Amino acid sequence: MKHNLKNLLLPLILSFNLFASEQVTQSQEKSLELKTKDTILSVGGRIQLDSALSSPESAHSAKTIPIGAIVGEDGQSNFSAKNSRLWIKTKTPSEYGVVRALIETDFKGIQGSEAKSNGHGIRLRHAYFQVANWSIGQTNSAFNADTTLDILLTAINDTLVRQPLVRYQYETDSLSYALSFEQPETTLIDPYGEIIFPKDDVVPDIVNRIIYYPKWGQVALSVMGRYINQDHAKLSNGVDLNNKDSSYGYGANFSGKLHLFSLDDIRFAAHYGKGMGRYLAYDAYATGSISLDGEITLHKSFGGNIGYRHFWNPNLRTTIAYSYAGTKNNSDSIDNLEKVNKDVHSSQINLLWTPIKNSLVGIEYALAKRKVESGEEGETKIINMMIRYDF
Amino acid sequence: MMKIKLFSIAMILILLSACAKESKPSTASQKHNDISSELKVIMHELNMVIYDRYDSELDKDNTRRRGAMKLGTSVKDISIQIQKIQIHKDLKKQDPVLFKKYAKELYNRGDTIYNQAYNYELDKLDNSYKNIQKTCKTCHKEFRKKKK
Repeated sequence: MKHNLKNLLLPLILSFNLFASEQVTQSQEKSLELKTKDTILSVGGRIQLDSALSSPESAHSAKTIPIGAIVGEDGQSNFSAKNSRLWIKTKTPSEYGVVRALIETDFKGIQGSEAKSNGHGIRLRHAYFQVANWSIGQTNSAFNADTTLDILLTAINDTLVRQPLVRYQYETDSLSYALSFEQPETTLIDPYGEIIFPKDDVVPDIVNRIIYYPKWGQVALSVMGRYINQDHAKLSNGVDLNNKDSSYGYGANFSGKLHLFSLDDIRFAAHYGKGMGRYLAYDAYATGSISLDGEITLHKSFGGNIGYRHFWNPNLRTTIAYSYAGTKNNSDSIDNLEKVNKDVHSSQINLLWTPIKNSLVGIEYALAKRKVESGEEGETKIINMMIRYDF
Repeated sequence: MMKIKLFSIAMILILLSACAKESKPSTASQKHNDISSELKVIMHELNMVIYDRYDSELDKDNTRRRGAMKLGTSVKDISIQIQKIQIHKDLKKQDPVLFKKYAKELYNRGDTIYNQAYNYELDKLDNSYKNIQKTCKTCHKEFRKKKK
């Protein structure tokens, strides 16, 4: 199958080669490469088919688990290939060291109809280059957990943000230190329980990260500082405020993995912050709240996950995991509390199999519960199946 | 709040268990075995890089590079330990020379892997890994059998 995929891509590369008068090679084991005198360009990607059956219908997300009466279908089965990916990367020597660049996309952009063509728009994931300890462009935030659970659905407390940034990184054999200046974006809950984007950010979010690589595993600590600002922000009812306010937020993220006997490991992450907002649980919690007078009150948010990964044999593994995320909203000054997320937790168990190299077949069960500030709760049960092949 | 407390306790226990894992092997032969086990874990982790769920392709290459450098260093450590191993008295006279040759070859192969990884020549690593396996297998075949 691997060779068939290469054969499909080869004519595309060869046609490019006619114009470039350069050399096409298939490297020793994996990627398909186009070489000029200095630059090596590689193409790769992933085909992924997901199938989810949820009751009630819901994504495994801290924002969307239905509350109260069942919303939507109960037991709807969905198939999707939108998590497939395509990437192109280059490597060029320079007087400052190797310059490496990457553009990576998936197909989670604008969604088409499930009844007809199932079209999914291409979406930018990463577009950046690295040279001489610097990374410039759009990629994962340095605040993200360095180690993630080996699960099919995302962890309910995920700290995953991709955004434009400029990062300096210094590496030794056992340590990695990064200082990153990243795109700011403030999200505030207005008095009507809606999240607003003031669009008045002026100072980049600043992240310091240190990763330690001992023989027994890997641990990372990220610390972030943010300047939260509103300048005549517009509330969800269309009213423009006529004042300014600002505040300083922070967050810390500690994550890692520990090798146990044989190939098994334990993976964990814990995070806490005030004004951490969108960095936690895919923007489920706001950075803070804004009053009718335009005053900002930052919210504390927190979360964590822990998972044990067991290898039945080198090609068959199971992870059992628990994750939690929550926030302390300034609920005294907010109406419509049924719209405001309070906390969420989820338990997951899976079985993942690698039948051939670079492939993965898996099944996972998740039970997730969400609570909102009004006290109402909702839960969903999801069975997710996935087949993928990386080429 | 109870959940947060339980989570904190679990984290502390995990970290303490990691500290308790350290043990000090005594002989060169035991050290060789211990580093070999580490190599298996490193190789396994390198095979799992492709499944890192959020890392970009450049991040994955960075992880492969770091893993390969670690592997290169461990292979060199094994070579140093091998040279300290007392060869069994039943072995032929010329065997110590051959044994040293394999040990030195292993050191050079570890060095090659380290340098390839350092220079981001990741496409060359698969062959280098195979060369190390070849050296290990040849040496084990030659000497572990004879020892019996």
